[in-house]
Amino acid sequence: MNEQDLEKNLSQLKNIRPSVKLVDKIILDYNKSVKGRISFNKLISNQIHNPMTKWKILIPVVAIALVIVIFGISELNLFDNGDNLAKVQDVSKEMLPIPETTGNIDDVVEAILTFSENEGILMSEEIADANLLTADSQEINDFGQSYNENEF
Amino acid sequence: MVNPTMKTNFKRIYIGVLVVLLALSFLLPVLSMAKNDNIDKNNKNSENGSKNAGINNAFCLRVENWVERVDQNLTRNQEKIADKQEERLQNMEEKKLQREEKLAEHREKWEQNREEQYTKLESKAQTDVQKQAIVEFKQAVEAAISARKEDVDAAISAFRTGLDQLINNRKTATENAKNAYRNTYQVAVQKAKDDCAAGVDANQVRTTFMAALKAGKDKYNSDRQAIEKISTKTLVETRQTAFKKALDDFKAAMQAAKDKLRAAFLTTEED
Repeated sequence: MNEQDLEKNLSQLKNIRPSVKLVDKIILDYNKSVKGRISFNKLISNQIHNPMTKWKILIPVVAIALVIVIFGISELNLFDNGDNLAKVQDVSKEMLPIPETTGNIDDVVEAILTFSENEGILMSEEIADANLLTADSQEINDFGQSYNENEF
Repeated sequence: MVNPTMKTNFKRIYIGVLVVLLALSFLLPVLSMAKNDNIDKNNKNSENGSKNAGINNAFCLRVENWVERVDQNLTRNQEKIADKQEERLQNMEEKKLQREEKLAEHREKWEQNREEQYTKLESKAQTDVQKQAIVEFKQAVEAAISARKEDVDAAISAFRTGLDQLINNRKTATENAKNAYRNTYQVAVQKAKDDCAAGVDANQVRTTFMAALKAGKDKYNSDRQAIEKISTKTLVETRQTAFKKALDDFKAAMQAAKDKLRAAFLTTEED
């Protein structure tokens, strides 16, 4: 068989798709002949016969990732709807600076008074708890809409 | 050996039978129910024997379906209120703990700072009179801080107790309003059913039913408005006044202690 015949035969083989078993066997035989190398036979045969494999893997992976992300967001309350009443506002920025310790009578008294005022600032946030009283207003209102008498 | 074509045909027949069976399993109960409904309707119509009875029957059937839906709404909305109230309690408890922690931390820092201030102040005392004046100053400051702490803690406690009380009042008022609303609804439904069974004119049953439901809703809205009037305004004002008084008293005590200490230092310096 000369070179031209060989090329002709190979061009005819282009459209032939071997079975998975056959490809596996060819690759297995090849791997046996080259000992010590990593066997990619399954991977290669799957890539040849099943081009959708990557999508079959990717779609569930993406779906699971989405579920995990959504679950995480809901658990961590990352979407703050303003209803997360358990958070205590940080009032540290409103706190007054404490005078340095100089030993001067005025500074000593000023420091003590500043701590006293800061305690008041720290506890002033508690007043906001009073708003919790009406936290169920919407639900109480909704209960009164349980029926519509004008449906009849 | 089984011919492959025959095997395929068997498969097709098998799937076909399955599809037919599935379709029948869905259709038969529906057909049966429709038949029963027709039988019921025919029986009722023939029993009443009048057009009015037919209208009543239609109205009563509609009420039945409506009641089922409303009962579900009531249960669901009731659960929502309970959930929100529970959430409120948990939030308050969490906030309370967080604040107590912060307050304790703040007071600890304050104490440490005072110790530093006292040490520095003592280092400046040169005479026994000054040293004694500092001892008395420390005592006066600690007494003032202790009094202030008691006043502040009492104000915090009164505020929390008052808020808990208001929340309980609101909860009780809500419970009463809900019960009245539900009760009016149930009475109205029962009356409509009884009237239907007694063959009362459908228009009259409907009018009475709607009026009773409207009255129940109006009462609930009125109760709800009263619930919203339960206010924390006085509670907040009382707390603010108590805090202000505690601070003012503390400032006055501190001023007196400072004046006394300064006087002792000035006197000894002059001597």
